Amino acid sequence: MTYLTPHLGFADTSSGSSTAAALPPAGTHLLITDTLESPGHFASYHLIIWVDFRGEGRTSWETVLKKLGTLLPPPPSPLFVHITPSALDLQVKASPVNPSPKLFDGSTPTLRATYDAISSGLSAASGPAADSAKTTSTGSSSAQSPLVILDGLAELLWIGFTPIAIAQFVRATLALARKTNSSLVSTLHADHLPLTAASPSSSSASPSADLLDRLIRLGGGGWWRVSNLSSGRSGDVHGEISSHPLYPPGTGSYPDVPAHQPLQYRLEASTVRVFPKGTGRGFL
Amino acid sequence: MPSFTRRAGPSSAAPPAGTRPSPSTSLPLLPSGVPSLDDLLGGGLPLGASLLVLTPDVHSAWGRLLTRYWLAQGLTSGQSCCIVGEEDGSRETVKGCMWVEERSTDGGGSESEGEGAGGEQGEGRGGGKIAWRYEGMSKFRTSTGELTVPVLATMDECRSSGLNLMKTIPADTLSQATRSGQHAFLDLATKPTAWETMSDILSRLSIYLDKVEKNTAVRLAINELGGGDWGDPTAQEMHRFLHALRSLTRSRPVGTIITLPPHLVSTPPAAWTGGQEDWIKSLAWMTDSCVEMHGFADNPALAPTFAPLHGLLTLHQFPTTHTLLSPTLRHSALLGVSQSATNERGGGGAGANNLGFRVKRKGLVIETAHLGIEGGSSERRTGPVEDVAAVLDAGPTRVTEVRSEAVEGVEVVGKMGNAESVPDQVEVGKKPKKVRAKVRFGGDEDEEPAGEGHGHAHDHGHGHGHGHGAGGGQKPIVRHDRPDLYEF
Repeated sequence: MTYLTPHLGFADTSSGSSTAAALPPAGTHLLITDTLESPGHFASYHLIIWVDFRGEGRTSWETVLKKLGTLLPPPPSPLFVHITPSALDLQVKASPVNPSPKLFDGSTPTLRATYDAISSGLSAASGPAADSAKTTSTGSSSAQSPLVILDGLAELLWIGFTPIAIAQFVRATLALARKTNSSLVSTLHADHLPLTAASPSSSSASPSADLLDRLIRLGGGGWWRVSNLSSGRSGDVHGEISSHPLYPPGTGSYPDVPAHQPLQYRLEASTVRVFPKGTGRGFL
Repeated sequence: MPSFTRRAGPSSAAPPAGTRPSPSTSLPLLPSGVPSLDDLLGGGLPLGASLLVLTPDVHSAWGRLLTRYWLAQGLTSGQSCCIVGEEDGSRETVKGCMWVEERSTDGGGSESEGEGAGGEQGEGRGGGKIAWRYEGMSKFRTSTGELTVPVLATMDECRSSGLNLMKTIPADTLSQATRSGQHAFLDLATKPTAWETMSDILSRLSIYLDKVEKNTAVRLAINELGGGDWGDPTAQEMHRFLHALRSLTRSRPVGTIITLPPHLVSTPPAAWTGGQEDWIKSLAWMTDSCVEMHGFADNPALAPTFAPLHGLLTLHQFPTTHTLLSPTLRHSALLGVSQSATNERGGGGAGANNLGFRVKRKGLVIETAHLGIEGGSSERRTGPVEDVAAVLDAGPTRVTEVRSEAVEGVEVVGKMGNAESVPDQVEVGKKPKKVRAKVRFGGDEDEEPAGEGHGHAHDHGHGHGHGHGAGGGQKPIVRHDRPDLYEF
């Protein structure tokens, strides 16, 4: 994610250096929201334990990361753990190769199996086998902590989980991440948010709004808000990003980019151009 | 030993028959049968992806038309097709599939998209020459008769363009495809609950997909998802079905088209707590691409406004899998934000086009939607304009102030409400005496400026041309409270 680091880098408080880090600090929670016209998938293409609630698939990530210059290790590897929770019934297998944790026990939604899979993945990622794998793959020992991505919390909401259950799951995973000195990133579709202060929210009482409120109140990190332009689709600017540190304030690890002065971005074939508003291509 | 040796290519298998290579990803694409829709999808629907078609118009069946294109394209390409839905509806859908013209099946490969193709070919064979400076210009088009996406032109692509609405799939071809198992039906079974119906379909679909030969692309069509035959599922059950369907098909060579009954587009099902717009967006997120075809049948007043279109099309979602920049944003000419099509520095610049669709004699085509040449009014004025002075005479006395110039340039000002003074100055049927209006703002004094007596002072900020001589011609009469009465 080097394309975002110069603009939305995280302060490296552990080493005391002034350089910006690409990964969020250990033990924190980064919430990324996006909209239908500006999907925020590009903001999470770099990390380790990926809980794929969206059902995107590993090959999709492999292709994109290859274009970005990062090769995924072949499975199974403790460096990249792909967990694909499935809404299928118990007797139906989504893939003959990869077993996936079930999201439903009969007709009751449950995240217990997914949590267990994350827990085992984290213990594998922080174990001695993973340390040796890091050393051999990069040539030097990596000091980066594991990172967990909960990708697609809105999908959980739509298939029958309550906002309370999802917020409890995120809180439990955050506690697990803090225990293992990991970081947590979660993504949520937030089309209900108004694009401008003047435009009304589509439905402020929707479950998505409730879940977003709960995750913001959970705090412990920051919130990246990816949204489309209020003027519609454009070829020069594909969307905007703003960054908001959450509670507790004053840690300084997360950048502060207010929503009224957001960064804009343009997706390209093998990178993402990020620029302050009004400076894209030099003629905007 | 030569210095250069050809590196052996990857050992991956050849792409399934009937697919075309993607211009920007390694994932093969399934053509939808409608080239202009393929343009919007970035070349076609990627394997493992799904297309949701929303049709809020209850009086027509645009979703079924797209499903037929989808299936017919698969049957002509030798792919496997599977239709999920109510028994009679599924069979009727397949029986009504359009088919290819004979010359296309013979390998002629000539494309004909609607009525316009013949004219273009004639031009290329040495029709009338036009000025040399215009020779390099492409013809103005509102749609794509052929793909603008730079994919290899294969025989299958030629066939895809040859689907003709005036042809129907031959009965013997259909029966042969049924016997060979090229197309199959998964009929809905009656179960106590909606989810049991859906779960039954998912398990049977899993078995079917496991049986399909490897390296054979499968076209899946799910008809009227969530309708009465599905047991009236809740919103959560529909989302769960879509989520499970994605996990079943994502890693397989399967493309899926899904249609919803019209009432589920305009009104969310039970247990949905958000609004209708949130419902549509959630459906679009749960699928890989989503188009809404809003026909004019439920609002006939729109038809003359957007003639010759038969409906408006909205692209809610486009495929983003396996790529950072979606092929739609990169290559689509119809959407209009393509970074490769606009200028060499990149950058589509302007916003996305408005889109519509219409059914021509031979096929469905998606076009950019424009208002009429007169800004949306389809009525052309053919008679003389109404005499403004007469209208003024007969109209209400709400004129704030009308000023008439005397022959020698002395202005006479009629006060508000003094309607009787107007006919004295403006006579019907005669040449108007340089009548013009004055805008009076709040706080303006009634007294005229000292220098206004010469008669051509531009004392208001309008750009009207004021003649100053006796032969200056007809002067406009402007009533600022009735802008529809302007005469120029």
